[in-house]
Amino acid sequence: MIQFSHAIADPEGLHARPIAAIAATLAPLSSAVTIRVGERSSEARDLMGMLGLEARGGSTIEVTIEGPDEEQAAEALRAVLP
Amino acid sequence: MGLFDMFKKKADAAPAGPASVTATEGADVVAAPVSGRIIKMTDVPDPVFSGEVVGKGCAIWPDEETVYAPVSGTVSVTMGHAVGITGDNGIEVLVHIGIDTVDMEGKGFTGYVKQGDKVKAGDPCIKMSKAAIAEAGHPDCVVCAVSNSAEFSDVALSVDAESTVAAGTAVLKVTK
Repeated sequence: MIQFSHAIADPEGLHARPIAAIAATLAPLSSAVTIRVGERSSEARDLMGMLGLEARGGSTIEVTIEGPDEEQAAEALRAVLP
Repeated sequence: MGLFDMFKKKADAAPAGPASVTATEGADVVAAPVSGRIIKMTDVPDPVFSGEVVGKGCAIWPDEETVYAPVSGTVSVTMGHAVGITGDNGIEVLVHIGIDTVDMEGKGFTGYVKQGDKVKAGDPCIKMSKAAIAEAGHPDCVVCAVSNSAEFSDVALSVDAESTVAAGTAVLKVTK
């Protein structure tokens, strides 16, 4: 399992465009990826769940990745997180 | 009236929404969220939508400014320029007003629903100002995406592309 925190740099936060990019990046990978913001969490490929996190610019997200390709998923995610 | 009264008034005043429209409902139906000219998702002028990354569906170039719930269900997300509804029929729909309108930070949009609200297909959700979107320099096309498209074998237009539809008309057929 890989866990890391990430501060959202984009002032617009996790809106449709970055969320779609995250889902597209993770689509070919099989590891489970959970993103948590405060009390709320969502599977990273679940667009509606991710939008429901309402992660604004400046907020910190906690990422948990677990699966056979978790290192690859972590690297890909770090490159695409806003 | 003091400064705090002003804030209080703002917080209390739930804007009175427009009347609901009659919408077609069904286990496999998504209704038009707005009146206007319907186009295929692949023709939306933005690669994230046209590439169906957000989901399959359609978009409508709006003739009017009120955007209605395309399915009956629960509001899962509201963002000023967008609303997501988890349908009672299992279809999750994201209605996204305009392209790159996130940078308007809600200005030009009036919301009538909040996260957790139960809505019926045809209930008003958001009113946009077409003038404000034009002023911000963005296309105002209203994207209607089935965000859980992967759970279905097909999401197809049930009316002709480029035809004019009224809000509430069945426009998508979703096949399990």
